[in-house]
Amino acid sequence: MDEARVIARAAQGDEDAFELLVLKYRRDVTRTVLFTVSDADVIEDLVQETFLRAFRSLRTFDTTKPFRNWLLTIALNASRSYLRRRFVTLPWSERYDRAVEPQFASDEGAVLQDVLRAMAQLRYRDREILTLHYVNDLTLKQAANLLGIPLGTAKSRLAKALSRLREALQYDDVFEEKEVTEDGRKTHRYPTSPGGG
Amino acid sequence: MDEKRIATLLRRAADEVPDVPAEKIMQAIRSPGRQRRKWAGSLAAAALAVMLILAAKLGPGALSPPAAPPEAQTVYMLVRPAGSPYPDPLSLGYIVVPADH
Repeated sequence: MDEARVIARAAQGDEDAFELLVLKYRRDVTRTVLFTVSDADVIEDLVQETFLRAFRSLRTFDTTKPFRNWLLTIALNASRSYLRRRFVTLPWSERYDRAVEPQFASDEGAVLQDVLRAMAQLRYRDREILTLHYVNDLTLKQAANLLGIPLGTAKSRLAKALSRLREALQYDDVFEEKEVTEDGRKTHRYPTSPGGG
Repeated sequence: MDEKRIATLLRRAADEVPDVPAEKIMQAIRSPGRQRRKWAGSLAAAALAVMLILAAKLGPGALSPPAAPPEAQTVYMLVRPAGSPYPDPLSLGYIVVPADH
């Protein structure tokens, strides 16, 4: 069944049709909220929230536009709403402490943890453009359209975000390559040489 | 670290993102609790609308607490919710302490 028909059926409240869309796009949505929020603890809730919002407003979806980009817009809105809620409920002393330590249950996702730790030091706008362009593989033009900003603004935002991320990664001594330890586990920490990178 | 390497790093990190199980996502869609929350939201909105209509019909101060007896000493009280720098506007009220207290 082609996607347009699946979307049409889901828009009429067909939950099984919507599940096909969930299966196809959950990875994109999960990546988007994880990289923009940088807080692994709330990802499941935000992914659920994104799909729930999408399901409720599917009737308003313009079928001439890409469904994936529409869904990513909802995911970004869910991330923004969460960060706003978190900001309001935090005590004053913690409001400007942007970094959130990503928590994972195991050693899995070690590269991811380091990247998220570095991303958490960036501003939301930086995380947003980096996520859309590098994680979701959108072109800069697509990312600019999705964010509702001119292409030039997207370019300069990306350049600044890259420079800040580079700084954060170097500060955190983030790896260059993986190595295998004595017990066969892969580790990722290679201290970068001063000024290197 | 140049742009290409950062891009590679981000993509590698993205590959490590674990999938949220589709069943969990669909729970939110199929959960009857969703409907209850929706109803609760509608009820809260209706209650707010009633308050606003009352306030508009009865004029300013209609929703204020009743006037304190003149012989009483009035102590105004604002409750500040934990973690918030602002007092809760809905908590505006006073404690009436008898004058001979």
